[in-house]
Amino acid sequence: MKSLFEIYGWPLTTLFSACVALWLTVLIVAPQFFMAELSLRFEDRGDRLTKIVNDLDVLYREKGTKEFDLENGPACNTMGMVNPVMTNESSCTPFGEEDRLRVEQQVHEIEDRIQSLLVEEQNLKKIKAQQFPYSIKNYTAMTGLHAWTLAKTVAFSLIVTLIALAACYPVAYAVALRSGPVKTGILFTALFIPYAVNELMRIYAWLTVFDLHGLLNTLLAIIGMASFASDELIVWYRFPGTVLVVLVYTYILFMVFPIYNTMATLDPNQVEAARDLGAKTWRIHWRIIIPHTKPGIAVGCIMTFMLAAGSFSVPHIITRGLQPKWFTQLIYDKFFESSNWNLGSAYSFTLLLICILFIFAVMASFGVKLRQLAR
Amino acid sequence: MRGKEVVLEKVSAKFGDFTAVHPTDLVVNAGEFFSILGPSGCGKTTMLRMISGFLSPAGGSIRIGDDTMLGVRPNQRPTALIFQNLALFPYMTVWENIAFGLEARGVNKAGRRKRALELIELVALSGEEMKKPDELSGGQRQRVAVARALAVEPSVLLLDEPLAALDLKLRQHMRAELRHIQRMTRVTFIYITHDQGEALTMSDRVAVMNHGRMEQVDTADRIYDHPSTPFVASFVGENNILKGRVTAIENGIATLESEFGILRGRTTPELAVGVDAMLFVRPEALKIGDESQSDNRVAVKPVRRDMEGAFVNWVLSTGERSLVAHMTKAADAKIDHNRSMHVGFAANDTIVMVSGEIADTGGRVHEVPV
Repeated sequence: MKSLFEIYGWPLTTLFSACVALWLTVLIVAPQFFMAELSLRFEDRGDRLTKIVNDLDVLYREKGTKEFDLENGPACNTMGMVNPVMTNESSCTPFGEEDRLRVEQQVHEIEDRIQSLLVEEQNLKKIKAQQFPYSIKNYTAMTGLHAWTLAKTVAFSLIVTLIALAACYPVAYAVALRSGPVKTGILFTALFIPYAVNELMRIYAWLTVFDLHGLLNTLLAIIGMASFASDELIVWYRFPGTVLVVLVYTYILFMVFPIYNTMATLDPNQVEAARDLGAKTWRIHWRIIIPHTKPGIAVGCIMTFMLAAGSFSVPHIITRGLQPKWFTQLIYDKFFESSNWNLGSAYSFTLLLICILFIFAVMASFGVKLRQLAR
Repeated sequence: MRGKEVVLEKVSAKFGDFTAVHPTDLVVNAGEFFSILGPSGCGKTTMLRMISGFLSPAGGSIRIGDDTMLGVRPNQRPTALIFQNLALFPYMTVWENIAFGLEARGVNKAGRRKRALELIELVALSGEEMKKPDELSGGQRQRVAVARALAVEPSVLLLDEPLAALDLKLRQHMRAELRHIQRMTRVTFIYITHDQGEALTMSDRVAVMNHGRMEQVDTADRIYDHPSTPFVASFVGENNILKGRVTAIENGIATLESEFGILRGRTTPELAVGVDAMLFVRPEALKIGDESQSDNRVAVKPVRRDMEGAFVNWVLSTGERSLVAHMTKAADAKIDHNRSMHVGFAANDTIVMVSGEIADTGGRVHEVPV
């Protein structure tokens, strides 16, 4: 802090600090706290209170409809559906006295039921307010199917990470240690160009490959292994491999760059020294290059795993609903389909916890310290 | 371990259009401590890389012992290279570093460890075998590098300025140590350096290189006392250079006409009457006070006195040029700072050569401004 004052003077330093504080509270701490709080509050969708709230909703609506009818005459019956908005005098006959009394009676009955439900709701709310509001029920409420989805998501993300690692290590090696500056420039440009394209565009582009009338099936048709005429086509979206391929493609740069960056700092003399001492290629990799590159590999694996496990767009776009959902899609559904933010938050935190465990597992197995990762 | 001879026949190296090493013949004897001395960019490292096999010569052939090295890869040559920055493996312990060459040859762990411990003893590192390189001092790392190279029992050890990163005291200590190890093992050492002190103190023979050519290959004494080119004379040790024109050559003594008057010095074979020549005289050959006995006299005025310890360095002005004289304390006491005087030197302590390129010594001796 003191050094900041010395470098920037107090006005800029105050501005920086204020911005950082704002960012931390508004964008990090507050939402996380809000979500964490939500996740610890179990909303029982099957309890009496929820039922009462729902019933009250229905009753208020019913009452409103009846009262509207009393003021404007009965609804016009179109296609067997009551539609109060369509009311107009010319096509609708007004209530007779008998009907009016009957409807008024119904309104009274509804009001009575609302009254009794409101009393019950008040009592239940009082009881609930006295209870301790927090529980870990949201975290334990996961069904077997959802747990299986979570396990599959984690397993797939691990596979994606391994494929990306297998693909990136040779690339990083070629760029970092085996090519001159010109070649390095060309290779990097080639790596970068796809990333200048929007991520969604890149994912959608794969549809042209996997589509029923896409590139893969066309190629198969050309070599006679599929046919458009007789509809003997392969529905690629059904294969889990499609998601793997696209995930690897989408996040591969997050594996390449950390590995490249650490590998490029290796003193080429070490490789030459090992070779001069008679080491064969695999031993040079195993004993010299990989130990040096470990922090980069760890960072690459962590980033790729977290991005893959947290990816929503790729499984959402690529599976076209033809494969079981990814865990991220379940979280989305909890938030925006069933409007259960409590459970959605709990699911999110569960995924986050697994990712953090993965980070520690990677660091432990690579023998890498947090300090080294930061480099 | 026994050294083998290294024979280069018309070996040359090119990088694109640039000739790094002109066709060179060289014989390094078996078991010899041989240094290649030259300024940076003279081609000495290229030379080493060709012998070690990391670089293919553009022409010529290299033989080690009885075997030609044409097409033989670095790891199959009987050579081991010690890099300028040592290139120790930072993630391995000292003994694993030393045993790496054996590990690559498939020696089992017990065998590797036994051999590594022997070498650790040879380089006086006992007790340090479980440390990592970054826990060692500069000199200790140096010894690990030597032991690691010796572990594969090379016939020829190639050293690329391995002492450059050490401080002066340690460097001088390591010179003696390297020499000692070389004597013990009788492995042929080929040592690359730009530091003449290292080359002169350690080597059986020295090659002085410039612009991709071997200017002179000889013992340290011969190189110092009988340089064969102006470059060698100016690069190795300090030298005062006096320019003139040859007017006579008699009985091995050339006479020059110069701005300092008539000068006389030992002649060299290429010299002829009428050519422009350079007379080289070492600072320690300049004498004060007994000028009448000398073959050459130059009038000078003292400019600066640098106390160097065992001797005193005097910068003397001839009017337009400066000369450097190394004096004993006794001679130093006779100098009066404010008076002009004469320095004298014997013809036999000088050498006269046809003018040629002199080394860029970075403002040393003969370029000291007056």
